[in-house]
Amino acid sequence: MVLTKAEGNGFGCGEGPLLEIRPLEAPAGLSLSGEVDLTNRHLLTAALEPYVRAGQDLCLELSGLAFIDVGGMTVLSGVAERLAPDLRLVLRHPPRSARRVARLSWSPPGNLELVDS
Amino acid sequence: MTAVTGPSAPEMFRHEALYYHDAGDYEKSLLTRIHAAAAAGEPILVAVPQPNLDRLREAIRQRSEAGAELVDAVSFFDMAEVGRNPGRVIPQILQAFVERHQGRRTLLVGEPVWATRTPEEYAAAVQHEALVNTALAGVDTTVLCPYHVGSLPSSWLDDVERTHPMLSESGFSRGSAGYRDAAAAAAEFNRPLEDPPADAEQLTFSSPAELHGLRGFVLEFGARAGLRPERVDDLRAAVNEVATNTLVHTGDFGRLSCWNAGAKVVCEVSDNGGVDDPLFARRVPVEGQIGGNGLVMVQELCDLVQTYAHRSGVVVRLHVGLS
Repeated sequence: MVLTKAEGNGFGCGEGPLLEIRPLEAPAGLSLSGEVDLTNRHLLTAALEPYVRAGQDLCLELSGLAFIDVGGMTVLSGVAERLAPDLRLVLRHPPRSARRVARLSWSPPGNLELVDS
Repeated sequence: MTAVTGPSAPEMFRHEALYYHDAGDYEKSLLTRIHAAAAAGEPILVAVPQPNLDRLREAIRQRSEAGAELVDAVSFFDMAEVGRNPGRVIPQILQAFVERHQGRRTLLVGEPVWATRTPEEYAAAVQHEALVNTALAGVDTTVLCPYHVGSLPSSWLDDVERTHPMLSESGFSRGSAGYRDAAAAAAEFNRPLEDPPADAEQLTFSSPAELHGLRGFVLEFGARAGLRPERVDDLRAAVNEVATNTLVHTGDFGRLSCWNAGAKVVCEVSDNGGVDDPLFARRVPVEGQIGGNGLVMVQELCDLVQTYAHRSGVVVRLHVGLS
C-alpha cells in the first residue's frame, strides 16, 4: 500500500489528511502513509496505545511514509520501551529520515528494529 | 605551578588550553598529560584533527610503557570529522564520553580550532570552547585543548585566554587573566550573525499546520540549489526540527530564510522566543530514547550550525554543503 505523493514540490497538503493510519492484517500493527510531524504525533500515540497494551510484537509498515520528525521517532522509541524487553517493535521500510534519526541517536532501545523487508 | 580555581574545590573541572609550537612540542606535552592520566586510571579521549591524530597515536604507541595497550585504551576521534560542526562536540563527544565513564575522573583532549577553519566555523568553535565551561561545570574531568601558536591568527589566540580558565605552555600551567567565569564567557561568544543576503528567499510561519509547507519549500530550494537528495532530506529534517522548536517554545511566529552561499545552502530560522539557556542547542539527549532533543539531532544533520540567542529571540543558521 503505497501512497503516491510528489515529494519534491509539496506546497500545501492538498485535500487529504497529512497522515493516514490503517491497521495491518498480519502481523499485528499499523500502516502509516503520509508524514508525521507536530500536527499529528498525538494521533500516532493514540493509535499505538491498544497495541502496546496487548503485549505482543508490533509491526509498522512505513513504505508509504514520506517523512517522520524527531518527535515522531521519539513516540516510536517510547512505545518500544514500554513493550516488554522480549517483544519487538519492527519498522518496515522506514523512510530515510527515520533511519537517520535512529542511526544518529545515542542509545535507541534494543527492541526497536528497522528492516527493509 | 598549579592555579586553584575555587577555594575548596581544587581540581574537579579543569578546562585548560595547551599552547604548542611544533610537532615535537605537541607530542611531548600531550604525552606527559596522557601518561599521568593513564597512571591515575583515568579514561582518556583524544579528539584532534589529522595529521595530529595519527602523529599522537604513533607517539603514544612508541613512547609509552605498554604503548600498544594504551593506544587501544584511548578513544580517538578525528576532530575534523566529528567536530566539523563544532556544535556536535559537547553533546555527542565530550558529554557522551563522560557519561559512559560516570564516577571516574576523565581526560578529554580536544583540538577544535585549526588554521584552515572558515570564519563561520571558527565562530562556532570558539563558542563551543566558551560553552564547555558551562556544559561540564562540576564534572570531574580535565578538558585539555591544544592550540598551535605558529599558525593561528593573533585574535584567535586572544580568544583562547577568554574561553579557558587555565593556560599551559612548556609544561607550566597558570590561571588565565582574560577569563572571568562560565557565564561571562558564554555571553561574550554568543554573537549576532550577519544579516541574510538581500536575495534570500523568506517564509514566515506561525502554526504547526504550516510545517508541511515549510518542508516542501526546503525540499524545493535544496534540490534547485543542487544538493544531493540525501542532503536535501537532512536539510528538510533539520529545518523542520528548528521550526518545530520555535512553534512549541514560543507560541509565536518564526521566519525561515534560505540562500545559496558558494558550495553550500544556508537555511536560517529566527523567532521571538527569548532563551535563557546558552546551551539550548547542545543539550544531551536522554539515554535510551531516540531523539529527545531535536536540536542535538540538527547538529548531526548539518555541516555547520550557528546559533545566537538574544533577549527577544533565537537565530539558528544551518549550513549543508553541495559536495
